[in-house]
Amino acid sequence: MIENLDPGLVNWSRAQFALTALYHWIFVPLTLGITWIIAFYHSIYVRTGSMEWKRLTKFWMKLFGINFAIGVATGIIMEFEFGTNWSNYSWMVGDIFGAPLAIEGIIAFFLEATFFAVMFFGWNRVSKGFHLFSTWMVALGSNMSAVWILVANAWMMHPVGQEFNPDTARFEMRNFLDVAFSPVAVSKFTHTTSSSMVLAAMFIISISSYYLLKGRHGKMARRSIVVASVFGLLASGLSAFTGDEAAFEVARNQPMKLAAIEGLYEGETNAGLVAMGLINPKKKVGDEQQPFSFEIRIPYLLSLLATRNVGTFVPGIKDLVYGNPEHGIPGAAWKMERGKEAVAALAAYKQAKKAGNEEEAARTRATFEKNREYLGYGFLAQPEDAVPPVAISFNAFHVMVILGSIFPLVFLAYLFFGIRGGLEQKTWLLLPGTTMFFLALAAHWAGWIVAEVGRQPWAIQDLLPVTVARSNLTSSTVQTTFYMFLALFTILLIAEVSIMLKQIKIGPEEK
Amino acid sequence: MRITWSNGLYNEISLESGSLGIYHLFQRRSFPCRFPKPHHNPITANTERLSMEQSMPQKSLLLRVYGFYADGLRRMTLGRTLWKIILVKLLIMFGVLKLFFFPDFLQSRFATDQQRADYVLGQITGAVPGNSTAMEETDHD
Repeated sequence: MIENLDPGLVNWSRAQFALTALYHWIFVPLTLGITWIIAFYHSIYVRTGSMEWKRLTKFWMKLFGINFAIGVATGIIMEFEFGTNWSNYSWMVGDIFGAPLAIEGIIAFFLEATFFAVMFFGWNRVSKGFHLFSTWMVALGSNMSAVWILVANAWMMHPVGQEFNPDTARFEMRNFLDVAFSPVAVSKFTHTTSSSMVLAAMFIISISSYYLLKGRHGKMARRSIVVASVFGLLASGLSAFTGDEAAFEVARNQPMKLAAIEGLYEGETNAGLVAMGLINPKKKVGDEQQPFSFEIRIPYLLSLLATRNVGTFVPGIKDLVYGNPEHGIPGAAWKMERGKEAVAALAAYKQAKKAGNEEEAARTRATFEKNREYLGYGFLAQPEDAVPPVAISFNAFHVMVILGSIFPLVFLAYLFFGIRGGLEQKTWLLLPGTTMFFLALAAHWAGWIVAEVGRQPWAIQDLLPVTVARSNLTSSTVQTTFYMFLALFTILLIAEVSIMLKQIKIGPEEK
Repeated sequence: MRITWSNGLYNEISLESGSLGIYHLFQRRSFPCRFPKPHHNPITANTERLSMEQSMPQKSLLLRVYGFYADGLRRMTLGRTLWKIILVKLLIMFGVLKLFFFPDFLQSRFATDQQRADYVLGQITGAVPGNSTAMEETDHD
């Protein structure tokens, strides 16, 4: 089948999904993060009764509303794509994803939809206390609805609490709590939400910097900056901590991804972390080329981060592909053999069931169960297929980390001058400050690329490669819809940016 | 809490800290109310109002909620534009994209779950590199 598969189909389906997800990911993190900051602004207003804080809260609420309106339902397109482009995958995971996505729908509907209206319409119409409560509930609801989609995503990286049913060809949930509270899901959720808070703080800093440079709404901009800086600083610390946890989980469950994001071809004891480097994109596993043109390494740090122990061995791409008996690491070739046994057993089981031969069905099922954890490897053509695009993964990871390391310094600088005074004169800070939102967005996108490109070739880690997850379509069909989405998304983005810019130009309502 | 009465309308100007409960949540300025004019004594007025509200029929709360939403939507300015964008977007997504370009692959080809399961099983067992026979079988399904 793989030989006969339209070679462009998988890549076009991937490209379409990436386009949709990245577009969706412009709006989501801003919504997740800014709702918390607005809740803080609103709380300050309720506590102080100051009309300045009220104006400020209403202004950021308005920008949040624009972002929410343009972003709403962009995620639905991904669900369309599951059914059309990824039907095998969609069928196989339906039982696992059904519950989390249903919970997401219910929570999103009840919490967001109910309190969203009160938050926007409630000024002077409901009690201050209930109004504030609604604002906090919008923040909580937005973030809670993100839990479930991230649980689903985490399950793809670490498929726990499931069992494959060969009669229905579906992964069936055996333990909801294992799925919902998998360490990968927890670290994914906490890292996503904390980094979204950083992004939202940068959004506020960028727009407020613009006002200060223009000499408009100075008081509001300074107040916004001080709160956003404190919030951003705390969120940066949380993001670093949760990012470390996420990397630790990657090391445990997706060692190939860790090796790829670090450009680690040969495994090492006392492995160093590449702080910065220029990776060789032409390097292939097993060849003699150098992986880096140059690199700056921090000794021992990778071993420490990956295993919490400086002296441990961190497997490289070569170890994971060809195996490393010395360290007890099986290679992809060995896993492929087991995987092919699983697939053959599955085919034999199907035949035996069709023929009504229960004895043979039981025997083949047992063989399948013995090998099923390597099922996905049975679909690979060669061991090297288990390697994700290394250069993209490495670069995306390092862009994310470098930007994430700069942000706390920016927050500190803004906080310092925001409190001490004279921020309006610090053009050297305000000018780059206007671009910080875009850098934070770039860091977010880079994070998404790390998560999704780094896990290739798997749709479900070790169990289902993307080449098998797709539908039997022609690539021209997917290509057509790709360009349609591109056009639609461009129009929507232009609409958002123009409405947002107009509102920023208008600024907060007059006193 | 300050309570005023004017033009035959019961007005709640503001609710300070210490909410009096869910009955107050959707009270807003100039909202028509069937209550009698509040007592002149502001201390007893609260007590009387609470007991009156507690005996109010459920419909009244629903009407107040409806009024809250309807009035909020009516007063929107920028929100109108945003709603138009949302509706156009949903129309394009569900009325065009979903309908014409994104049929559910399995739903549209097979009548039962068993057929779908058999098809997917055929797809995955035929997806082993070099095993083109199995794949041809499944593609003819």
